[in-house]
Amino acid sequence: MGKELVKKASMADFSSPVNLVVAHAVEAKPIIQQLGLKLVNDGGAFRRYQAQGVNLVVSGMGRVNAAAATAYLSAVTLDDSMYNPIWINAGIAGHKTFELGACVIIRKITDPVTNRSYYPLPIASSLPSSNLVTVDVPEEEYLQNAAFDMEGSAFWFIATKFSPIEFVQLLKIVSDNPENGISMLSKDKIENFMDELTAGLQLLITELQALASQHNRAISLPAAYGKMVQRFNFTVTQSSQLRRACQQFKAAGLELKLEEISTLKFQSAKQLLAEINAGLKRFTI
Amino acid sequence: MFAAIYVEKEIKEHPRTLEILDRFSDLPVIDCERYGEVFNRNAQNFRIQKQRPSLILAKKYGNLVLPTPEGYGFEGQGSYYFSHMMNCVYDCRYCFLQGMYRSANTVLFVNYEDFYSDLERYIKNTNDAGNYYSGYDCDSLALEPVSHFCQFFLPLFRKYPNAMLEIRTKSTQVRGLLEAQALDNVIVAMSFASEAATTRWEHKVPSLTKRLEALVKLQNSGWPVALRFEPIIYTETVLEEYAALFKLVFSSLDTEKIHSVSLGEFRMPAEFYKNISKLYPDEALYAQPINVQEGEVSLKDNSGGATIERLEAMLSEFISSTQYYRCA
Repeated sequence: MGKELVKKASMADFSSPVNLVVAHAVEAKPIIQQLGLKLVNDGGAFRRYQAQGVNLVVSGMGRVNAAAATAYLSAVTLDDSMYNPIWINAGIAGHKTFELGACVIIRKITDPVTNRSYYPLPIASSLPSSNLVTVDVPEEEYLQNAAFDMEGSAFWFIATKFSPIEFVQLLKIVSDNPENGISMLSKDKIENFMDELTAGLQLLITELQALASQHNRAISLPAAYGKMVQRFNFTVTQSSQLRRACQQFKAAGLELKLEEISTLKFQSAKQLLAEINAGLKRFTI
Repeated sequence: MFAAIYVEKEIKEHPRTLEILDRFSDLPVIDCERYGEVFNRNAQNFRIQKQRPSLILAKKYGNLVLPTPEGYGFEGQGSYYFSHMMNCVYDCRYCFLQGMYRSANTVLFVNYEDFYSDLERYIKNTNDAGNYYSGYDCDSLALEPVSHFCQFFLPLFRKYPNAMLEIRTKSTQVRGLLEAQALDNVIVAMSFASEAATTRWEHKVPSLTKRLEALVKLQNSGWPVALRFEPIIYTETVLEEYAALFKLVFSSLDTEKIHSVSLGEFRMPAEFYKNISKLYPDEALYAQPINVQEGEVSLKDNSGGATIERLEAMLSEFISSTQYYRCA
């Protein structure tokens, strides 16, 4: 774990970074404006934007692009936080029955190519929920009572490799339906729809952040961990043992004792770990 | 209670499914092919999910009745368990289910008729009809108003009085039992931990007093009741805490009529322990020194076994030795 991360691990901010994956620049524009995101000029494969704790990547259309951009965003932001990011795929979608401008949380994603379905956590929200079908070409028939997009299943498949599924959601705004076909969409209309979606997006982020912060607080490490990890070069196994032992000290209410140990002189990481483990052996509830 | 209801397509029109969906008409209903798509998938976090669990209605295939693990329940005749549900609506921090399942959702298998047939087959083919346990993978009664488990399964054990059914629970949902005629071969086994352990580790569980009240009502209505004091978690004050609990419980019940009493130490497979301690790194219980023996984790007992023996001695002041067994 890098020194910056160690510093962050000791800070009392338990929020998760928020990673947004959006297909088109025109869809991203209202989100970028409302969240105050700035373009990151890193010459990377995908255009991305950033502000305090929020990242947005413009993936381009379709499943391959969505998967690649999600993986890319994970890679370039990996060291920003010790906590798992929240992932949201936001964008426009067609829908068989919902009216234009309806903002929906996705409760089931189906990929007709692989015939697999995925189920995001049913989140507490005042927004209606819908199934989503991810297709390879724009849907004009609206055969199922569902939303239709071209990225959702691939986004889910990749994002859930980097965060627990409870941190991954999809938010769509209905841009076309059988009465108002996809051919009637224009850039302006898309921007207007996404402008409306941004309010729902902020609510969703707040809801997920509450869930994430509670979780992150529970798994956070005591301040002494940061001090100890900088004193020696720990192997991967030793690092993991140190983290677990520090969490156990915290759980046992022995943080002061751990603080004390962190100030003692040791010859090696092994010796430090032995002292810590000896401290734990004496613990009874 | 639930965030949503997932329904396997195959049982979408099952009368039990329709009844449950009607009861929870305000919840989102999400169809799925098989419950495993939701319940067994990777990258789930049990702890986060437990804050907003969903109900999954499904059909159980394959082995509906299984032999009990070694050391579970009474010795002697054939012992089997069956689970019409997977997972528990309660949130006991020590519970092995949190390490066994990836999901915090509750699965309710609605094909009771298949369980009935399998149970009947086992009863007919087992010497002395056998012992059957419900409540190993779930709390049998916690969802009773929704599942109507008793209403469906009691008639089977009325039909076969030699077969014994133990309903293991921490629930006070006993109305179905109280409204039915008591059966000598159906035992309601209530789990108790000390007041301190209950407060500390048994979240969303009815209070000790409410559970005891339910058990008293059942006993007064003629139902055989049993007491399960587990898991015993060694603390510095464990003996005093259980002395108080035993005094309270045995002064409330007719001790001679108690079917059985058991004690069991905190114990679980090492794999489950590993999973739970990762889920709850902030839980002091999982900072406690442990023993690992033959793939099983137990808490280090600094008394060298004297604590459990002392607890047994305390129990013997209230019950006879024939009423008691220690969980292996």
